[in-house]
Amino acid sequence: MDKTELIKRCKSKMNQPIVNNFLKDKKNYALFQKALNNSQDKDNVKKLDDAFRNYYKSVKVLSYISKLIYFYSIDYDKKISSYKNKEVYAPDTESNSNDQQDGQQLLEVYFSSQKDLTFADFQQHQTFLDQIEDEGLYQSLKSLKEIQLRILELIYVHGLNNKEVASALDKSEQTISYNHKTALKKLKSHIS
Amino acid sequence: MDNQSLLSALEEGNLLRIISFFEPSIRKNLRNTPYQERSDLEQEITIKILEKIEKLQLLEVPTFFEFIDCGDG
Repeated sequence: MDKTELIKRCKSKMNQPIVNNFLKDKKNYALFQKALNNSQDKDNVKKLDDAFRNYYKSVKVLSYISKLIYFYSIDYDKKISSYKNKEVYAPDTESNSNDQQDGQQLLEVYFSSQKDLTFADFQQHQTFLDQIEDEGLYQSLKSLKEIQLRILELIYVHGLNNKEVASALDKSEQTISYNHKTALKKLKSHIS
Repeated sequence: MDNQSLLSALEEGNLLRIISFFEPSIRKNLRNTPYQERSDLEQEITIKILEKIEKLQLLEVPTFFEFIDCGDG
C-alpha cells in the first residue's frame, strides 16, 4: 500500500507526541522523507523502521524504569509506615522461667509508664558524640551547644519530628526549629 | 548519557551503566523517605530494576509504519 496515503489516513497517529518527537530529529526526518519519496525502495523503509524502533524502545524503557522507581518508592514508604504503626513488641510467652523473668522486666520497661521513653533511652545511651567516627565532624559537633547536639541526635538518630523533639526536651517547637537550623548552619560553615 | 546510550547499555546487558543512568532519578525519589530507610530503599529499587531488565530487553516494539497504521479500511 502507498505510504503517503497511509499517513494521510492516519493523521491522529502522526500527531502523537512520540512520532512528533521522533521526527524532530533532523536525521530521522530525512529518513522519513526518503522512505516516503521512494517507498518502493525497501532499504529506505527499513532504515526508517529501524530508527523508529530504536527510538520507541528507548522511550519505553526510560518511562518504564522511571515509573518503576517512582511508584516503588511510594509503595515502600507505605509499607514501612504501616509496619511501624501496626507492629507492637510482643513478648514471647512460652519461654523458660529465666527468659520469662527477663521478658517481664522488659515488659515493664515498655508498658509500665505512660511517659514517652525515648528520652530516657536517649540518656542511658552512649552519647551521640561517642558514635561519631569522622574526626572533622566530631570537632564541629563538639563546638555546638548542648541543646543543639541533643536536637540533632533526636532528629537524625532517633528519627523524631520537631513536635516530638519539643515534647521530649520540654521546649517550644520554635526553639527546636531555630536551634536545629542554627546547628546545621554552623556545621555547614565548618565544612566549607 | 542520553536515551541511545541507555538503549545500547540495555542491549549489551551492561547492568552497571543502566543503574548509574538512573542513579539521579533514584536519589531524587529517596527524598520522600525517612532518613534511616533511604539506603535500604535504594538497594530495593536497584534490585527491582535488575529484575525487570530481561523483560525490557525482550520488549516488542512496532516499526514506524506499523505504529502509524490505524487499521481502518
